[in-house]
Amino acid sequence: MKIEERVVKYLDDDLTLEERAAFEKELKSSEELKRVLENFTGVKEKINRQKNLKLSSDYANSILFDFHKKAGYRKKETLRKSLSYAFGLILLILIGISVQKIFFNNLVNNSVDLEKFTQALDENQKLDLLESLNNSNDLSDIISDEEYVDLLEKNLIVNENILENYDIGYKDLIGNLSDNEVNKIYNELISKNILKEVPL
Amino acid sequence: MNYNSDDYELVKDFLSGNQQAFNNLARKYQEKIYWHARRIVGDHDDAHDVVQQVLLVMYNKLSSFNFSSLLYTWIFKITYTRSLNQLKKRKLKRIVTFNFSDDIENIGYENVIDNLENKEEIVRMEKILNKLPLKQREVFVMRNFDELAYEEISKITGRSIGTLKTNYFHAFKKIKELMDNNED
Repeated sequence: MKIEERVVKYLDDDLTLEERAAFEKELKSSEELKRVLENFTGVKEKINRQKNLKLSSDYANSILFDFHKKAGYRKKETLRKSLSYAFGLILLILIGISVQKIFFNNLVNNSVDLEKFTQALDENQKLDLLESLNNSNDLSDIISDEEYVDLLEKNLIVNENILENYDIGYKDLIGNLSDNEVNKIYNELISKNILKEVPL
Repeated sequence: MNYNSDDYELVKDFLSGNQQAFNNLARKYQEKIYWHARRIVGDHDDAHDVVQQVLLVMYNKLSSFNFSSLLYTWIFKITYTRSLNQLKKRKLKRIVTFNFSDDIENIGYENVIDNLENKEEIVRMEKILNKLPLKQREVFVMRNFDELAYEEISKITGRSIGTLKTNYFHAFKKIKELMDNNED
């Protein structure tokens, strides 16, 4: 056993009784052993001074407070998310039904109106109409900008709770991952040499 | 250090619905959890996160704890795993935020520690610990600061006692070298 290893084991109280006795006997005669022991003892003392660090009472009290606050928030968040999804689903179904109803009503009404309108046109007018429809590539030909924005505003009513869930930040990307997910991504990044492993 | 004197009673009380018993358990172990995490992850915010995660696991999983091991060994195992995971998350965070620096800002001591006479020494030690390979850092922290026996560290980390002793020796030697260089 090398001298440093023996010294570390001595300070760590990891020598057998015989080894310890031999070490202490040698210490009386070996200057080198004494010097190495003093060096490591100095380091050990510096380390020991840091054993007595205490958390401030303010911070210590805040740990449990924070835990219970988050635990309450987690319960509310789960409920809020469940409700958001439920409302979102109901909203989507209602929008779907409304769109279908409006679309088919308009289709029926428009087809009646268009039928009357086209019957009133002569052949030249019909050709002009077809030509103008063919040349119309832009929505702005049919509807003004104001009408377009107005139409969007009226129809784009979004559930803010759902929108909030799409506000993706770092916490959403990493913070909410499970341990298995973190390990999977981490190992994948290491296997692709994108990430260096935490030195083990 | 006798951690186990009233753990059994506290766990039993908590499982029978006494929330105060959980608070007492949390107060009993939160400081140990914090310092272990802080010395492993080297950063106050991450250590705080680890403490919160460990308390949450305790809260949710104490019902499955059957006292086949000591409660504090179980808590240290959770803390060890969560700290390791926090280091991995930090690596992933650096990728997401395009921050590839390994520097850790040693902030947050002022409001966290009571006896702050040797702030510089604390910061220096933290920097030195962060320079150790993780396996060496873990065993050194558990042995020196958490005062765990090699048998307990072996149960927590799943490594053999012989390997742990080797890691400890190399950690101690490297810390001495780093301290010597720092003083030059």
